[in-house]
Amino acid sequence: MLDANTRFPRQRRHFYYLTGCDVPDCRFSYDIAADKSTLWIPPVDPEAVMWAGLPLQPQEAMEKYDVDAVLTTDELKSAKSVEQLLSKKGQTLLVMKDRADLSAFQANDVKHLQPNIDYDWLRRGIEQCRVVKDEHEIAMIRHANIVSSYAHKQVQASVHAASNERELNAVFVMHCHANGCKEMAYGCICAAGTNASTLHYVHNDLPLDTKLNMLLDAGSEYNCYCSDITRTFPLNGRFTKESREIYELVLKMQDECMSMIKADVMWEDVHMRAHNIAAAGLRDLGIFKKSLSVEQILDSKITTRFFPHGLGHYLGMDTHDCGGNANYEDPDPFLSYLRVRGKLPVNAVITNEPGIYFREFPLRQELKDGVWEGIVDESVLDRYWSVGGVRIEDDVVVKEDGCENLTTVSSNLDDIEGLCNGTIQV
Amino acid sequence: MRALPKHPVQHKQNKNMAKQIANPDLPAPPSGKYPAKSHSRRVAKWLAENGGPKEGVIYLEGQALREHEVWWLQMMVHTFFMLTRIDRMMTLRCTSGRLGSLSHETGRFSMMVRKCARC
Repeated sequence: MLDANTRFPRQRRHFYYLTGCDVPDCRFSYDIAADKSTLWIPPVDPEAVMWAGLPLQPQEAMEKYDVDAVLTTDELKSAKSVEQLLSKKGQTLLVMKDRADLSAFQANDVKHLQPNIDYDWLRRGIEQCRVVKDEHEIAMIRHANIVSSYAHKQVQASVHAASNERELNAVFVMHCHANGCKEMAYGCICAAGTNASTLHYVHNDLPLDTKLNMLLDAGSEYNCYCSDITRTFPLNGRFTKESREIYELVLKMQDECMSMIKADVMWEDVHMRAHNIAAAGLRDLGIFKKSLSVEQILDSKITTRFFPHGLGHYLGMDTHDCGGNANYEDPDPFLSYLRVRGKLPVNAVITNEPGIYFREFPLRQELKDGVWEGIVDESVLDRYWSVGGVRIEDDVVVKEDGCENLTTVSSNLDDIEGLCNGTIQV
Repeated sequence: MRALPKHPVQHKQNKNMAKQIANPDLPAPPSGKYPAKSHSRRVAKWLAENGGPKEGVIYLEGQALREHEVWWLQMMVHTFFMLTRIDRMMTLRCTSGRLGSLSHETGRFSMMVRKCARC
């Protein structure tokens, strides 16, 4: 029963995929041969009604969800119900390992039905199917993006009035919630100054005082579907020379990758294009020795120190959505953090999120140990530590001949500065 | 009987406040039912085409409320997965500051968390 401490649980994503139902304590079955789906919802518990109001009724559920029948979960306890569900002896029951209480199927009065329980196929099937989104799913990701993009703009327009990371975090969450996206897809990353070099910074409560930039990686959910957006902006309304140079480089990485994203492109190729541009860009700024060729820079693997994560991940009901087939054991340091491997299918939704970070750990020690001798020019690098990190992240739908960007907050440098210094209104 | 109070003083527009809290200009959310049945069919088709069972009954359990005491923990696992690409073993801290640990093996999580009386 719900008590005062209860937070509404997060629906299991595979369950939502087959039901569209986010009510806790439900069950679902789908008979493949009969093409019949059934949703079991919790029965009315009079005591719970006093506290939580009337729960969902079967008739309402029939209207609300795309299922063929709605029953209450207490019916699942009867042998008759289980017999109907299995429909025959030796039926294959497709379940998820560790995710199902099978006692109803193992009770004495249904033992004669001897279902053949398969624990593996269902998870594999759902995880692969979830990669390619249908129109409705894309519409929900788009909506989450529109609301979160608006909240991003509100944050940029509020920087002048904030003195601590948490204030901007609150502005973001407030505007998402007020506009119908109550849940965050992940904990907001509100990282000012050098905190931005921590990829998944969690504190969000440090003063902004002398910091140059803020990296805001935040996105809300709409009906379980996520957005995932990052913008980096100047806290005083104007990027410094160094910040501007890094911002422009990251934007170039993102633009070039954006132009490559289309059906059947190898994600590794797009990711390596970003490294290629980072290598040339950081060399042209003088952070890498100007005498080096891009090949020499990439061979040294130094760009993995400045752009250490993968270019992007699938996005759906999970922020890092399933089906990407990442290989975290890959010995190639360019690819071991890449969350999607292989070709992108049409209607997959993926993030395009390059970044350049000035991470003091482990770089300072490696420089001291001479690991990057002949590659990094420390006297130039020293001017860039205070930039912290720049990441720019948009969510795109893969199309046959290109991609569609669902993120509506601008990443144009003038727009960002304009919102932050008040010359552009939200 | 006491007379009902008249409607309070008309609010003057306070310039410090937004006219409306929500933005009325944002587009409406998508309408229509979530296409759950088509997802079930899609999964059945994928199974049949990829060497899996061609018939059978899919059976799934949704999130249970009875697990709500540990739900914050599951959420933490979820968030944690996103926060850190963990390789082997990481420690985590619950809201009361107790430490637990989380291990990641072959794509699945197993958790060991010391019982915390305050959570």
